[in-house]
Amino acid sequence: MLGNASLEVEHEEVAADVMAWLLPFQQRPVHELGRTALVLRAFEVWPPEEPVKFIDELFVRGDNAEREALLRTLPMLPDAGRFSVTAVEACRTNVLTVFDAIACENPYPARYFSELHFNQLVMKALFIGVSLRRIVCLSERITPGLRRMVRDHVKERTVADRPVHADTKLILNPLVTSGIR
Amino acid sequence: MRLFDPHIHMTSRTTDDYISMGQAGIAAIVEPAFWLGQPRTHVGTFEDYFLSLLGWERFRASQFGIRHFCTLALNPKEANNSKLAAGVLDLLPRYLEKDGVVAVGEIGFDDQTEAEAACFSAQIELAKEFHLPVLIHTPHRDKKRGTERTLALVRDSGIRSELVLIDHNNEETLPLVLNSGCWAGHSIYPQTKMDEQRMVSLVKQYGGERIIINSAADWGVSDPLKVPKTVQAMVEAGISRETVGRIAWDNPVAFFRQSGRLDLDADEANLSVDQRRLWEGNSVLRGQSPVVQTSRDPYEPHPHS
Repeated sequence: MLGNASLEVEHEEVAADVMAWLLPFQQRPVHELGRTALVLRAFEVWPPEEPVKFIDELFVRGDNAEREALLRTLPMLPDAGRFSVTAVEACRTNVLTVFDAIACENPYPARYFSELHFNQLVMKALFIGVSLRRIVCLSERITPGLRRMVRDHVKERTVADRPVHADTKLILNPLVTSGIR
Repeated sequence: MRLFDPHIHMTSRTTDDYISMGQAGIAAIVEPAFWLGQPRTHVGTFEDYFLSLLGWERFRASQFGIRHFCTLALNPKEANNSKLAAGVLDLLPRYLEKDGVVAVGEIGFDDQTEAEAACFSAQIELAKEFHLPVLIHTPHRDKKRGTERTLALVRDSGIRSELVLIDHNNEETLPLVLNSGCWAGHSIYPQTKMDEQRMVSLVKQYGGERIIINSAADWGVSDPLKVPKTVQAMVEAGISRETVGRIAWDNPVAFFRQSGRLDLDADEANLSVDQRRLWEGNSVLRGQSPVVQTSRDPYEPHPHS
């Protein structure tokens, strides 16, 4: 049993390339890294005949913790782009911790999502109050289409006399945007 | 006082219930898989049901500061559909492995048929294989005889009595269950099963050892606050706080902890209700004002907590 203790790795303890690999698991429960190691090992030892189906089944039949670990594993898998159907489906979840696992500190969406799906992810993050600073490589995926969606969103909130997420500035104000990764 | 409702079907309840339960001191719940009010026609719908107990409902509870665990099984009523039963029994091993599953249940008798007995026994074997306790439903009709048959089947199965919780007891069945060494559950349910004052009398007569209370709230006329209401009735009747705390927290914790999975100290357990980040979109609040509180325990800390 790996348990729920959160993983804390000091930078001095491991080589830089290993640290980059471990980064998404910092502060996460140790069992999550264990689940990731199992999936990666499965691909090495007995590569699934139908990898896309294999990963999707793991997602569909997983509990929340299993789904979160799998989503953080996706960018590490060989030929990771082929698993985008599972990643996009994960964004439709109502479980916020599962949404966080694909949307936050995860390079997968920026690298593999279509413009439609990436924009929907950003909009959902705004709606549920997730900081856009947690979306990896957001600045590289800002398009006129995304700006238009965010502008309309701000207008809709303002007309309804509702608060507007402060991070909308990251999309709408290029000066602020250039400051994010 | 921190309270535990060890049998409640939250899938059938509203967010208002979660808010009231949290305010009344309920900190942890167990949701057993059960009959949904009308028969299912496909094995796959059981799989989706199991997944929602392990996923969405667990998360929904956490948003209100309540720890959610579940028990999975083919329920007694649907054990009579032989086509479904075999498929669901095949499905169970995959899901009994999951971390949120703290027992096999609810299993047992409804009409007391041979098909029910076969599924009942098969699922006790699964519990032994997966080192899990079992939660056993007792029938509404011909209850005493059904409970006697239940205890005989449990004895013959060889499962240790401390791993068995027999539920929905009344004045007629409780002494039988206590004599067997099994745990005894009581569903405080309006108009049927058991009420607060009768429960007070039972506790005065039998004490608190191996006694458990629950609301069994579901899609019927039921009350998700029956555990706190019964606690209040017991305190008002002069039953010691030690005994009340034992019945409403220590006993269910001790029983389900035998699964090795009742992780009450995980991060989720210590979260206060903070829905500030959930104010729209797909949160269960659906645009309503968020509830933010710094502590979910409106009462003094329980001595055993």
